[in-house]
Amino acid sequence: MATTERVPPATTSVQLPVESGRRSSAVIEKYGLLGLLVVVFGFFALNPNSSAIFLSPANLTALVRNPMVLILVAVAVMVPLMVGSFDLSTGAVTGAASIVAAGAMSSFQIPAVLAIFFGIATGFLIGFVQGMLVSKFHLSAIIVSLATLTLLSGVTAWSTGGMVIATGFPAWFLDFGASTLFGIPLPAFLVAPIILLLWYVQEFTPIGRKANAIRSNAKAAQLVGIRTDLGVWAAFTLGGTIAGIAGVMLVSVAGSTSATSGPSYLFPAIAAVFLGATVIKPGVPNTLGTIIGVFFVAISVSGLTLLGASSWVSDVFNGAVLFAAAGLSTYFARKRGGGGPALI
Amino acid sequence: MPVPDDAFGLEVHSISKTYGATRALRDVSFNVHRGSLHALVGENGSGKSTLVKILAGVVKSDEGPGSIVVEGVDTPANGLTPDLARSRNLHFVHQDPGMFSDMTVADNLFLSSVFPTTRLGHISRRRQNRAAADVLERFNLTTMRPTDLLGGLSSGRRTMLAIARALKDQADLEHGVLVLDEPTAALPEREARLLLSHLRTFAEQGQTILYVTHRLDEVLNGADSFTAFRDGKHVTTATTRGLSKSELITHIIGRALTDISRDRAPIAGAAPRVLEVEELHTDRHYGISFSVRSGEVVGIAGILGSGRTSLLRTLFGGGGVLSGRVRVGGRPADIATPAAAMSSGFGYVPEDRGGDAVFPDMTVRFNLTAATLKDFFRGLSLRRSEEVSESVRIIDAFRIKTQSSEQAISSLSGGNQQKVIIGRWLRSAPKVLILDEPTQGVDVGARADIYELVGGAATKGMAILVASSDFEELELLCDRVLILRQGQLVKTLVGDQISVPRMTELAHASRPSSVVTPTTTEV
Repeated sequence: MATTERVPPATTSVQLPVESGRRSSAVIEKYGLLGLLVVVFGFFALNPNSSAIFLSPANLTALVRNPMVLILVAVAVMVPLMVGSFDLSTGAVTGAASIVAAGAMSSFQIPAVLAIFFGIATGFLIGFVQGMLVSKFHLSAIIVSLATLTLLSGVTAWSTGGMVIATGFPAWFLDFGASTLFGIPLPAFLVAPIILLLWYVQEFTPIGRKANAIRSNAKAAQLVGIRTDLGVWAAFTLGGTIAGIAGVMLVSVAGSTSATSGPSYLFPAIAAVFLGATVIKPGVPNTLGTIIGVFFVAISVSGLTLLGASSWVSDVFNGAVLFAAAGLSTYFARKRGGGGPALI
Repeated sequence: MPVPDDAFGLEVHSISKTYGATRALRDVSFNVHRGSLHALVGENGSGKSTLVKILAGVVKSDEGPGSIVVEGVDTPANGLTPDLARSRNLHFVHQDPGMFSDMTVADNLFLSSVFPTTRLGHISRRRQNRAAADVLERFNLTTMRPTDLLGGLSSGRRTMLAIARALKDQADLEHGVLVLDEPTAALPEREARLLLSHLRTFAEQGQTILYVTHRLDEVLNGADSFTAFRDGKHVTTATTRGLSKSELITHIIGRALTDISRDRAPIAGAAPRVLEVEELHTDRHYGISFSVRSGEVVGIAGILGSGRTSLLRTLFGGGGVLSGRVRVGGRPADIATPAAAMSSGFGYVPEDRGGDAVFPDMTVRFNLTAATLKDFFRGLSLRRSEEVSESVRIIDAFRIKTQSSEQAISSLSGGNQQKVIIGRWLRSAPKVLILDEPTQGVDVGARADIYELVGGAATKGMAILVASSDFEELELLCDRVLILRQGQLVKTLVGDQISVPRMTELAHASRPSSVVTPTTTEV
């Protein structure tokens, strides 16, 4: 109301300099979480009660290795969210893929390479079907994924009989999860290219831009020539596939899996994605933010455990993080003028 | 209760309001006669809403001598509060009046006050409905029932209900001041007219009505008098008797609109036909045939429900084609999906800007380049700096008021958002640009800019198809106007034949045209 609507005809330039106060708050917005990550890391590194173990090479390697599966699960949550669909089934899909791969090796003595393929294909198929239900039949993403989650948890419990699958894996398969190269855990070499590719597609190609358009306003996206149905379908399929890869990697890193292994990743992953959506590109789920979110969650929980916290701490922490992330991303979205859809 | 003619219902004396460095209102004074319908006009940002908020006591005016006089009772403007305003019989219907479509008429009426309750304290449906029926009767809304869901009512009736809600606690309707902020902005023309005549009956009973509007016809035909603001200053207060539209526009924007009206050089008969539609049948259209030549602006005039929006939507990949041919540049055009229509050479500015065009949380740049991303994708990467400089170029050229290309589009005014959307399509250089209600909810200054952009694009050879319920707009813009009625093209108007009365008459003709084969005159 206090702005003048029209520029007088004589004025041509409308690029006004942004005041420095605004800019510094934008910087805090963009990189705040990264700073917080450094603070948290510093806290555990310097705290006399945790620093010795925390900074040991074994722990540092573990700090990189342990979040690898979580990164993939988080990214698998993020991809559908990029087109505005919330997929709650990701943890369950990860679990199903891990059981298919592990079961194939352990119970059916199928060659590991083929078993890996089956695991990933499981994720692909579930994602594909969910994507079809959401994009072609216009079912609600939350309901579809909730139904998938419930269904899968039943099926996996039945197929494993509540047992842990921990034997029958070839040595090289377990080595992959346990070894390091130049001090860096091997799984990181698989995760890194996936992340880089996603980041590149999201940031530098029209595909990422189109995903953003679908998330922001699907009807408008369609009217600028974007195939919104294909976009949503592809996002679910890609998310499922990544969850499939995560499932296989879970078996390799942990050396075992059970009906509850995969689903336990869901909430930390969601917390990381929403936390990630408060940085780098505030208000938008983004790859780099998600990675920072994962490390923030993983390092905090690991550090707290070193300080003697009980295992329930991680749930309390993830819940609190989710609250904070939802609050912050809403706040940033409002500040930017709002009007956009909520993240979910 | 006879009211002396010269009595003022509302007097505004030297009101100023400063927000930081912005002076939203500068020493504004004007008077409104009791029992009159008074329009408050001005571009977005001219201070209209600020004044309404000060009157409502929601915003404090600057310290100073400013005062508000309601029917002779003087109140210092700075001391107004919502309660005080109400006790002075100042009532308000805001732009978004807070009506809930999934609640009943009775619930909506009593939301803002006290629900009638039983002795036990729970809401008494029976008493509430009876009280609601009384209110409806008093305000002449007898076609509604208290138990009707609000969602089933037309948008005009909802506004009438909001007015009834605002006034229902006042003892009588013979005095008091009713202030409405853009009550007709979201209403189709017919509904808006209905609402105005409804307001008229209140004014005749002695209510003083001040209403903010962007619709000039409403000022000319509906209001007794008007006040114009420009840049926070009072420009004029006068009767609307004998006022012409161009005078009114001059008051509002400070210059005449004539210099933007495209000089309508006749389109050479030799100009190639860019868009050709032959015998197009859909479930709502029957044998539509017309063509648009290069450089030609063709209008589609039709009332609500005539099928004008769906015709445009069909051309832009909305589906529903049963039979017929569409050619662009002489070649058959694929219009199965929006994407296909785009590659066939169409661009489309939809009617519902918020719902169908704007990416609200994204930047102006994102919105400008959304239809032409391919132009910026080279060497495996989107060229962001090129995107920014191209956006800045458009922002400058189209006089889009924004702090930068990186501002979220939702922080822009409606007119500027619309310019962004039009910019999005002009930069895609379509062969045929389709515009549906291009200036809906846009203030008159931005409207002038939009006409200029559309005219300019036509001059460069684009074929333009524009639908509007504002026939004035069609008269100003179009070389040719097609009259659409019940899914059929019934008449083509060319050159001097294009006039508002003629279009109104043809578009509203109630009986289906006796013409079996729609006439499609060619120029």
